[in-house]
Amino acid sequence: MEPLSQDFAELSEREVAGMDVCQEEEDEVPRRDQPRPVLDQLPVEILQHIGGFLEPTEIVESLSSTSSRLNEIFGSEQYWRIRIKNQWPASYPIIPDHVKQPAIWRHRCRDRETHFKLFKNAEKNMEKRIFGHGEGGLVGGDVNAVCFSKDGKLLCSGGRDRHVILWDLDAIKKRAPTDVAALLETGAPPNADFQSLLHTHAGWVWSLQSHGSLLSSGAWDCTINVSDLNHSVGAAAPKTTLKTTGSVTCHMWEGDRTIAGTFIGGVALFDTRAKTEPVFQKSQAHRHAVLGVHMENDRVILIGSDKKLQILDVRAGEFSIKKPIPNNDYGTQLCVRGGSVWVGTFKGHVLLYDQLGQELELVEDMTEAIGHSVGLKNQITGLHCDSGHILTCSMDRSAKMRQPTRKADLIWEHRADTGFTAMDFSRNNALALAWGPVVGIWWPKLRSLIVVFILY
Amino acid sequence: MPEQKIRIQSGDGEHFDVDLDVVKLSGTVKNMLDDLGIGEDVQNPTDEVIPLPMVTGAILKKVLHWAEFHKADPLANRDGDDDTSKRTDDISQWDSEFLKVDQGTLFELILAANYLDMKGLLDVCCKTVANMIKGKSPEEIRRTFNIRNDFTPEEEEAVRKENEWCEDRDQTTR
Repeated sequence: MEPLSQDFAELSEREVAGMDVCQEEEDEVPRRDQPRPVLDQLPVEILQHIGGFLEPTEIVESLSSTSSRLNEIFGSEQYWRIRIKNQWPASYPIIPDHVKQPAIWRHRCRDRETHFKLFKNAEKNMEKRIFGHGEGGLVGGDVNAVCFSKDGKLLCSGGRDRHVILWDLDAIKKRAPTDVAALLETGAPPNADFQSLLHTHAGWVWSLQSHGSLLSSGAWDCTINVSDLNHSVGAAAPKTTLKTTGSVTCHMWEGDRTIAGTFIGGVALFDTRAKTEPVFQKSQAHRHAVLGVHMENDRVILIGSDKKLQILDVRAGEFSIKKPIPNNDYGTQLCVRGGSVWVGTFKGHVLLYDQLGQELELVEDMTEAIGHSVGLKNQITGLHCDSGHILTCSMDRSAKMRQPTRKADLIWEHRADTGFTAMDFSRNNALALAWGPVVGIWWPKLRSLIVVFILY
Repeated sequence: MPEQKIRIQSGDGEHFDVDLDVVKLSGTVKNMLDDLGIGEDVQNPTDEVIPLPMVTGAILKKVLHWAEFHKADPLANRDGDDDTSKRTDDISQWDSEFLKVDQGTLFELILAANYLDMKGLLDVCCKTVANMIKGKSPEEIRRTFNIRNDFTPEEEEAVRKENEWCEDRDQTTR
């Protein structure tokens, strides 16, 4: 061990105000026989205190891999649970789960701390670009759906102009905020360096999903176009067209299968390895529009204008559960995560159901906590719930990010001059919102989250 | 009015006469004084010596130096609802000069601050250590802090795997 530093030796000779050294004979710093402390042998509570000044990613990727003792302390699920609890005492998650997924708590801790840090102080930590009226390049109508590619490099938008447009986020990030206006003045096409047209449907585009390197778009023309973005960006990307009997309002991927809901009350299941026709179809007798679908294994959760939350068992081909949505209302947005089923409604309500039990139970009406205006013309148009936050947008002209707890404290809010029409949140913490033909994109400033970026 | 002095004694027998307002920065000492009823009555000075057996004289001297400079600091408000409590880039010039010491001393200061219950000092020392960890790979951390890699190659591989972030697949329907 090296001797005490020069600084320290000098210090002992200096007179410190308000302090008299009583023992005069001790000129040198007394040395103890015992070894001096080293980092990984410090008491647990001190190591945890040091850990409190590090990001979860810094701990997991570096500190906890250095020695077995540090790994024991920071690798334990208990550490991450307590770390969350110390910062946010409210019970979490809202529906206590029994998820045995390994290391779930460190993921939860990372997500909560990251989302909170970025969006609580969005002015400082987030960059944003809003493509207003006339600045949206190829966008020629109201945007109904936005979706980030899984690698976070592209944003896709689709809407009433029937186009599926790719936005190159790297190019947008490089461009200074004032560039758009400057380019418009020169008469050059403003979209030239950051947008491309993937394809055009024969009807309004309603639903966009990304799955691996695939991007799929569901539209009013009764098709879902599936493109492989890995192949090449732009119109040359190979495309498969899946055909349904009704206009596609929503769809979702599970492995090689995609499930679609239609405007005429149907559900169609495709296996993309097999063919472009559905391998399973089911129609509801009354033909009310299906507005949200989620499939896990052979269980499909549905919402729609029949004012019910339903479960369809694909293998049996039967609806097994039908739950009426309260307030003579119907679900427009569906987000399923673990045992939690979140439903956003036509009248602005946000409801949380528990799907772990046999019956889908309504465990919490979150409407008041989320705080969107309630009533007609206040439809929830975006709903994203993950371990870090609850994100919603509504026709009431507000978008809100809240804590993933019952009280749902506000983290971030954005207001626009018209109702929001579409939203997505990417795995690298970027956010896209659309209101009418306007598209807004938010992403973390590089310096604020360098470590998180390394991950993706 | 002269400031009342309190005599404290380090683990290795060194004595210090310290102003009451300085020594009270230590929660541990403050509690001892309160228990003994010392410090309330300036007219009645005490001969009592406060023993601090867990701290050496050398470290105690350094701790007192820090406390002298920080005795007038406003009490830190612990507001968990902003992101400043976790910041490590807010160490003052004086503190960073003060903490230009070897690692052994830094850790002894941490242990002393913890024992003496001096949150301000503990935080600034821990932030300094955190800054030494930030941006380093496990191997660089081992080198920086002289930590022995006590994993077998198999264990190291298992830990590496364990510490990869696995993203759960989730989709929101649109």
